[in-house]
Amino acid sequence: MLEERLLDDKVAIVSGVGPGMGRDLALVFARAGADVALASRTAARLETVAKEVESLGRRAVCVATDIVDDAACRHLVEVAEAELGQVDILVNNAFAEDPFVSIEDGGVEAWEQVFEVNLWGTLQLTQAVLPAMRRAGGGSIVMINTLSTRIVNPLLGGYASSKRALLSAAQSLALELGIESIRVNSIVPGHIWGPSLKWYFEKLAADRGVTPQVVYDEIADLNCLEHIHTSEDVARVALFFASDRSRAITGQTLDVNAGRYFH
Amino acid sequence: MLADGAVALVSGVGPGLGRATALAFAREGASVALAARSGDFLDQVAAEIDAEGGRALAVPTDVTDEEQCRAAIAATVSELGGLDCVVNGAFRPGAQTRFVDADLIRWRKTFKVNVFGALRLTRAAIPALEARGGGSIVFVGSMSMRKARPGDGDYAASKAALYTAAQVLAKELGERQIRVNTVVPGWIDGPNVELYGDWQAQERGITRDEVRDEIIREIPLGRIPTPADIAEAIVFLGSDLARWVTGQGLDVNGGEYFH
Repeated sequence: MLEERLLDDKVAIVSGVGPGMGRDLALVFARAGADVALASRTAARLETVAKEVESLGRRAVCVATDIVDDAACRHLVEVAEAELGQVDILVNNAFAEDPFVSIEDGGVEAWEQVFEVNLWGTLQLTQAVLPAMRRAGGGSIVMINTLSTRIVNPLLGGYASSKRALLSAAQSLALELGIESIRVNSIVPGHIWGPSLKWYFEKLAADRGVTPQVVYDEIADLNCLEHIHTSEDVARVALFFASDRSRAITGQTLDVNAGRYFH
Repeated sequence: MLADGAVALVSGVGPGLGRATALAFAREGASVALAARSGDFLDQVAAEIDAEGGRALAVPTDVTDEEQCRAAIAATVSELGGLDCVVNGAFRPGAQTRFVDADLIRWRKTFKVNVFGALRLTRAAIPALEARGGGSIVFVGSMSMRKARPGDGDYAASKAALYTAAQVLAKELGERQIRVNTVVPGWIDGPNVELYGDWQAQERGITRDEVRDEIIREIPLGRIPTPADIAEAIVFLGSDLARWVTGQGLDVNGGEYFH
């Protein structure tokens, strides 16, 4: 197996664990030898993923967490450290979607809500994890960013700018935390094949009276590799940043987009 | 193992990054073809890889010579069974002259190796990569293209040209599932740091250690990355972990500057 042993004896916290990217991160990390603390607002989803992690022979703990709640963030880290022994890795994957409203039509308040999760919530959880990482002698923080920071669309302003702010914050954190051997890197995924994109392509196809395959091919053709990859593919890049293989890399951003655009 | 069963060709195998990259690929299960002009050193690295139970082939090559590039690829395919990854590590140091005093014939020589040599080897490799249903090409950039310094003009511009060429290649070769990326190292611990230290020490009347400390102060992780550190990123981009990464640059510099 490709990712075998890259995270032996490591403990990771993954936020935003649902059926998509969060689950893939947890399973890719578990296959690489990590124990995983699973966080999201919905506890029921976590239990399903925890069973999958355990079936891979690794330990999992579920902690229902709203990252907007500071006490909940600290509780998550406490439980992870107490149950799994230490915390070496944090993947900030939790996010709020855009309310799809322009600045003019009440966007400022709506944007604030998005920033509350994507920027402040993420920074809060990151702050909460630092003491545990110091105790572990260092760590790796991975921020899952977004295509929307690269290709700006109307009505996605709150989401895009909150994530752009996070991209900058990640670099400041890298500067501040490097001396403690805590690394901070960002991944910017392109389109990710999964239920949401499938639904979106079906909608676009219906609007235009073409088959979803036509839409898929059009979008896939924008990628050099003529393919739309899955969230598991993105999780495997996160594995590199989480592991000691990237021990000399911090403050960097890597786009995983099958060549949709270059950074 | 990240490269189990794969075949990688590394150009510019000298005592620094090239050797570290070859050893890293071998430890991840790849067979490795070692290219550089000097055959003696290649044999030494091949022996190191053999001693660790790996498989290596020395292919002395001047990358500025099209024939030699083709021969290196042909030898790799026939001896090691194919080709999955090409690492363009061969380079020529810059002239270290300011532009006003520059001899543009010397600048061209820098480009001849750093840009056109890498592209010649890459072009020769494409059919072999295609025959495997795809592959990965890794170029090696330089911190001089991110942080301009006086006297670095030819070297920095050659690496920047190569960086852009890599993106064009990513576009052109993507449909054949050939990925093209660039690792951009910052300071690499070794002779270059020592040389810079000696030069600065002499210029400024301070010690070589003080110069080294100055460099480290600029690096958030608090140490100068080693060739082995950089090699990890090259192996990653060569591996299937980076299956959907193409046309990108990955900086390995301990956080000294961000891309």
